[in-house]
Parts: sequence; structure tokens; C-alpha cells
Amino acid sequence: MPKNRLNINGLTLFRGERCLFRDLNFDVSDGEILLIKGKNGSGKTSLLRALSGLLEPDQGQILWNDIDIKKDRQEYHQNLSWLSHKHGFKKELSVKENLEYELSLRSNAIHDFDYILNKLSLDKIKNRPFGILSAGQKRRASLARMIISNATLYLLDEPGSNLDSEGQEIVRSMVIDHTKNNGICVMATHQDTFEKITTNVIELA
Amino acid sequence: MNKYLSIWVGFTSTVKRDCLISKKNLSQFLNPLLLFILVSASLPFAVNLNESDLSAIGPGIIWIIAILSFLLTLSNLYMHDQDDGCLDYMLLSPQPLPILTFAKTFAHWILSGLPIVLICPLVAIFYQMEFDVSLILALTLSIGTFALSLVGSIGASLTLSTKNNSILLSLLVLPVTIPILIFGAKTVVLYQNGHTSLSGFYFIGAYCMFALSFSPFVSAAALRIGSE
Repeated sequence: MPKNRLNINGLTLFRGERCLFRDLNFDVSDGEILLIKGKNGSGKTSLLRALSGLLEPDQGQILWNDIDIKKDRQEYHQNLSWLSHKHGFKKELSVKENLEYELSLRSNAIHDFDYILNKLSLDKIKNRPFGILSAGQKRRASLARMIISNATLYLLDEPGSNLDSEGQEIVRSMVIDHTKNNGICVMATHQDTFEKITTNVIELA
Repeated sequence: MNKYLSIWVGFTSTVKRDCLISKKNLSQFLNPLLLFILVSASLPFAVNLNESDLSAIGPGIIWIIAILSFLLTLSNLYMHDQDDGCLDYMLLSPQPLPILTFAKTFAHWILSGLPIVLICPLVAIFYQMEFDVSLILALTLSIGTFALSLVGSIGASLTLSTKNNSILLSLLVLPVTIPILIFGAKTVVLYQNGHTSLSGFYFIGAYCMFALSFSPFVSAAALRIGSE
């Protein structure tokens, strides 16, 4: 089975006049967890957005399995799952309806997701409108989407935010399970909970 | 799953989702429709015209009110997706982005254009228009509003990153709606006067197909650039 690899070559990103990072190089392969550290405003989220393809870097290349992500976005996005500050769910629809929509967009998604909702304690609230859920429940729903997407590469921006200690433990075990199954995880977080499980660390100035 | 089947599923589920959201948030698409009904139905009472004059100006008036009430809905096309983060997930979807933008545009037409088309034969009664004329009016509006959705999608995606974009969007879109307005209303008037109206249909049909050929791609590119 071919090994998946995210390869970053000479990545440079400016926001306005300010250089967030210059000539950044790193690789992440199957089973690895990369932690991006840095102060507020150091460019952690921008780096994750650049890795996802949402942000065009000023210089450098992002390669997924040796292919530039710009050349085959669909293939890259099929392998990518993204967790950000914004939930990306419709407040009028229920958790289940939102997840079913996500499911319809991905050919490799997990169709039987009841056990995932159960694991994340969302089974009893799955038919409630997303808009009335608490911040923690919304975060859990976002995590459910990540698992359902069945993607190889997880890009997580502050995955533990709004979660209680139980929720954070679920994220931790979710990330560990994912990398044990040859998944790749790149995350930006301030929380020490996740630092212990990482295999590599990048610190942005 | 077959690639094309997967794209079709992505298209239909996006249309269904947007329709479901509107079903649960009725005011979003009822307000422009109510505006269309109220303004177009009350106008004949405000002007003192005889039956034949009223039916002569009817198509033009209904077309103008339809376009203006339709313009009100355009700014919502991608704005809610940007606010709740769905736009990022749309950009990161494994589905081709032009397909998703086209699905959203089509859903927008179903929710904003189609109700106007369906209600216009009733509104036409206020203008003393014959039933067959009102059907021609509905037909021109159905093609015309779909073309407006397509053109509006480009405007909505281009102005998404600007604050209070409604005015800018109207200024961008309104000039390109003028040919549709002229030919749409003229087609109905030609039919009303017993002339052939086919040339009008050819024009608005061609306009619609032209918009269809590039709107999803331009909207997708504008959304991608705007997200940065």
C-alpha cells in the first residue's frame, strides 16, 4: 500500500505587509501527528488554511503524494478533513441532516454513522436544529463530520476549544486511532493535552 | 461510486439542502415574493388607466417589479454560507466547485424565481391581461429569472468579501439585467399585439444559455479568490 505524505517546500506567506512565515519546509507521513505552536497571531490558522488549499501561499509548494495540491484539488480534498473555528453547519438543519449532506458530497464517507454519534454523545440530540445546540455540542458535531468523512489527512485548528475534559479526551483518542490506522494529523493548538501525543512540533515565531 | 453519479448526487443534495433551509426559514424567500405581489397588485389601483392601457403597460411593470424583488434575494446567495463557515467546507469539498455553485444558483432560482413565475398569472389579472398572455409572461419570466440567478451568482460571489454589499451588488447586476428586461417585456407585448414573439424567446434563451456557460465557473473562481 503506497504511503501518504504531505510535503511542504519553501512555503512563504504574507498577510498584507507582514510576513507570517518564510521558507517553511516539513514533511508529514502516515501515522504522524504534527503540532503547530505559536503565539496568537503567529500564523497557525493561516498555515493550516494554506495546507488545506483555502489560502494561496506567496511562495512554495504543497505536495500531496508528490503532486501539487493545486493540480488535483478534488483528489486532495477527498483525502482531507478540516476542523476550524467556524462549524460549517446550517443552524436551521438538524445535526443528522447536516451530516447527511456532508455524506452525500464524499464518495468515501462512512454511511452508517449512528455509532459515531453515539460515541460523541450526539445520538440523543441528532434531530435537534444545530442552531440551538451548546458550543460544546456543536464542536462534537464537527468532530463527527471529521470521522464520517473517512479522510486520511486531518487538519485541526484548536480541536479542543469549547470542549469539556471528556470531549478533549474523545478528540485525543480520535486522533490517536486515526494515526494508528495510517492517518495523518496536523493540528494547531495551545492545549497541553495534545502535545503529549504529537510526533513532530513546529513553532511559529 | 461512479464519478458522474457522485457529482449528480452532490448537485441534487445541495439543491435539496438549500430548499430544506428555506422551508425551515420561510421569511427568507417569502418576503421578496410578498413584495412582488403587493407592489404589482396595488399599482393598478394607484394609476387611473383604462383597461387597454393597463394591459399594455402590464408586462413591463410586472417585469420591473419581478427584477427588483429578485435583486433583493441575491445578496443572500453566499452570505449565509460565509457567516456560518459552510463556504470553507464548500471550497474544500471533493465535488467540483462550479457544480456546487450551480446547484446553489439553481436552488436560488427555485426559491426566488419560480414562486414569482407561478404567481404572475394571478397578478396579471389585476392588469386585465388575457390568460394566454399571462402564460407567455410566466414563460419569459421563468427563463429571464433563471438568467438573472446565473448573472446574480457572479455578482454575489464577487462582492462577498465587501461589507454591506447589497448596493454594490445591485449596481453590478442591474445593468446586465436591462437586456433581459427589454426583451422579456417586449416579447409579451409582441404576443399581445398579435405579432410573432419567437425572436424575443430566442434572445432571452440565448442570454440564459450564455450565462449558464460561464456563470458557475466565474462564481467558483470568485469565491476561491474571495476566501483568501
